Amino acid sequence: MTDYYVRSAAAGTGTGADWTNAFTTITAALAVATNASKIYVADDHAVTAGAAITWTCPTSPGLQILGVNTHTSTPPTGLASTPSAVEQVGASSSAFSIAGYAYIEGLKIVSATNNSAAAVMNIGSGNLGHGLVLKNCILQLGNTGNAGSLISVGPAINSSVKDVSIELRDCNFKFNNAVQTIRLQGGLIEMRGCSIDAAGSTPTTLFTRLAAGVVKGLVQDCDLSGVSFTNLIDISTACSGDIIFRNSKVPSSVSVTTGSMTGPGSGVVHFQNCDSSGTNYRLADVSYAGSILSETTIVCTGGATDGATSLSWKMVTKASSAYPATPLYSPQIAVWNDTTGSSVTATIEIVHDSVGAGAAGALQNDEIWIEVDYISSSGTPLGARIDNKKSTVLTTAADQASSSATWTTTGIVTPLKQKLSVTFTPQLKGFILAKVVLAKASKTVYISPRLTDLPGNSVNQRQIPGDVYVNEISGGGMILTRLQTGM
Amino acid sequence: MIVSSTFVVDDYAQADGRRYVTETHVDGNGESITLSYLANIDADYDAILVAHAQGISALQAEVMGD
Repeated sequence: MTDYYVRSAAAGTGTGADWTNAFTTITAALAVATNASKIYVADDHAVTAGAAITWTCPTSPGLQILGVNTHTSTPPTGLASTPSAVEQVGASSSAFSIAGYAYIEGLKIVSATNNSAAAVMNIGSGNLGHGLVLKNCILQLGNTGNAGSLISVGPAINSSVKDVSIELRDCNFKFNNAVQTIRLQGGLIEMRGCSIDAAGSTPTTLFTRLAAGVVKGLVQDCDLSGVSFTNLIDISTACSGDIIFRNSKVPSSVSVTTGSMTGPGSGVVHFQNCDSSGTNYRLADVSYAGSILSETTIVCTGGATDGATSLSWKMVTKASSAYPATPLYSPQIAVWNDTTGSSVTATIEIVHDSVGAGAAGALQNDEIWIEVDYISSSGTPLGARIDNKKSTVLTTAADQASSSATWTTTGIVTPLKQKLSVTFTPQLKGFILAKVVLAKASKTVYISPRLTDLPGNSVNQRQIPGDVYVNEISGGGMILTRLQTGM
Repeated sequence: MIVSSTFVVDDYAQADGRRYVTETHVDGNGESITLSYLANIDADYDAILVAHAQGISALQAEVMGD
């Protein structure tokens, strides 16, 4: 294993053997480094290239590129807490690109200052595999405009691209113009603990997607409130994949999405527990079929709650929502079940403005239904799904059951309460997972995302809709169970 | 460029006093852009509308000028 030193001010032999003889650019070190190497980058390293910068990392994992807090200690013993080592493209219509497999920490990366479509920053670009982890890095767009100027994450997916995994941890982004954005292009992309420099410009739309791209994205534990952008993500590009925003701070008055998804394969944008203030229940799901928003006024008495605030979900379908192929699915509702070998009933309460095709506007079982997954085998964790939609597409639809539940129905002219219920026999203890499916175009239905009627699900249990179930132990204490929905 | 912008505020507030707002921005080509957000209690809807319109116009100007 050979480690290398990089320092722009070095005036030695340029072998990278130590600080005196360090390489003067990271690119030079990458020409000889292997996936077993560490590349130490000096705290006073500063490169302005005047041409494209391309970091081509090894084709398998292991390489570390580390911004350290010294340019004298050999070997270094501390990392730069605030990235000071910087490489920038400078005055050139060229890209800054990073490709291959590497762990990169503590560096400042700046793209070109020329207003050019080519002046982009590419993290994971090119037809090869990418496994990049950037930790505590500053990613700054250098130019002041141009629609091409962006931070692209992941490559365009084609038959030549291999596996792609890109993690951005505790990175800070700085923009220079309203048009600039972070474009999620391809692969498994994860951003955790990232932030936006308040001293930079405010992008209109923080995230965009690449045409024909395929992304599974997670943005979690990020403080995105540094600048007050208008839109969190543009969903109008024809591409595929779910994007989850979770447990993050966002500016007030931000629109979660702009544009409309082009088809069912566009995926879902999940906005889970993100807000500008201290809430723990805010939710938004946006898909081709419609949207789902957290609601705290039109709520069911005794329904879903976080323990302090009663909650419902407002499901709003678009014209594209239709039975049987393109309905709107609610987020998953999860409850732990201890009952085995005997039948249980799971119920979801709903209310709407008499928007159904049934009697007096009741929703029918080809317009809305519940789907429940449970363990149906005692010998193995083999699951099964039960629902209460009509049995076949040719079956005559029937009204879903009416309900006597109490709802606050502010603003609903002709409220009609119904319930969605299924009865089944779990054979193993485990989670019961439910979704409400709404297949009637251009309608609004409020659902209380709490599975009622289940044994033991009425006392000392609070469900935080989305992916967390809190179960208070009768003798005190609390078990917090988190289901990993999506990622 | 955005040539007209309007907003509609939900008739009722959420439990914490905030309200959902839907904005519609129309550009010079007649294309409509709809945004929805959860507004703070003391939100200046007009100022937010203007800021959003400016942001969208800036984005469109750069795209068209590329």
